Amino acid sequence: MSIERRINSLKGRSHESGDAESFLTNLKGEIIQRDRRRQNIINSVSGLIVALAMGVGIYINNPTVDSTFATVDVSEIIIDLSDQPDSITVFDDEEFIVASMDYLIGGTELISTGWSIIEDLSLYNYLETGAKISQEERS
Amino acid sequence: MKDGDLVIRFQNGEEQAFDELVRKHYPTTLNLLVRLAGNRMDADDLCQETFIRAYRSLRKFKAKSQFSTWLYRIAVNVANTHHRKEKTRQFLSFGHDPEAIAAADPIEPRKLDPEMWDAINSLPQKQKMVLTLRIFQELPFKVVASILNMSENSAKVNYHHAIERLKERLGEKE
Repeated sequence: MSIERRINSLKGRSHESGDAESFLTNLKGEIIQRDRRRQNIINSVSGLIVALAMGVGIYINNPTVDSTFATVDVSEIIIDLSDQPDSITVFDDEEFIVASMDYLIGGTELISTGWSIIEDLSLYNYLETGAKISQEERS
Repeated sequence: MKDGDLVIRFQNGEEQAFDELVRKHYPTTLNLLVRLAGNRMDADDLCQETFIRAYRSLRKFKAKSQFSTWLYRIAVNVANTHHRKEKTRQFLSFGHDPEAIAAADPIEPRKLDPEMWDAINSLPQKQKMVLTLRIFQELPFKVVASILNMSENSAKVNYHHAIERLKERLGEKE
């Protein structure tokens, strides 16, 4: 059998017959559903745009947004506080340094106390200086 | 009633005219799409998509061609889009596409002559379309060319190549 004849033998047979009425019902349902979906998308997008536009409008036109914080002058607060010194923390420079050293060295617990080390070092320095003087006198 | 009259009635706001057009053209459109898609399941979806597109565009239809030609053109475009998507999906799933396996359920024309059915489905898309429209839809080359947006000569050449390929493939059995 030739190719054309073989193809033609398939031609006449209506192989797929669907139910036109049920197809039509489904088709209408699908069209309505798609229309609704499209309408929902349009509504959502336009709602979003309106909300965004309103937000931007409120932000731009509201005078209290920026000025609330801008009217507070931080430098004044600092100046005001500096006029009322805290009595507990006021030291002369020398007292402050000694107190700090005391605190730092007193906190060290590695080798006896910090002050004993300083005393030892002072004594060593004194002895060394004395030894130098006597050596110079002898020479 | 003629298609042209039904179209005019629909364009004048009579929705029932479209129902009539669907009833009239549903069987032939479904048959065309079964041949182009290769399975009934996809053909049903494509047929629905075809008529939805037709419904949306029918108000702008200028009747420069017959309604059936215009409808087939939509169907062919829908089938082409589907074909491209299928190719991409098959490529991405490395040939293990469960949907493709489900869709490969044998249908009536394949049962009649599976060898011929497979041979036609293996043709390049353009040749397959020309052959299907020419033989199974029994349309003249002029209309086939109009549906596929090509010259009449080109439609004839594609048809000739399609037949040659089928002969090559099924030649030993002749």
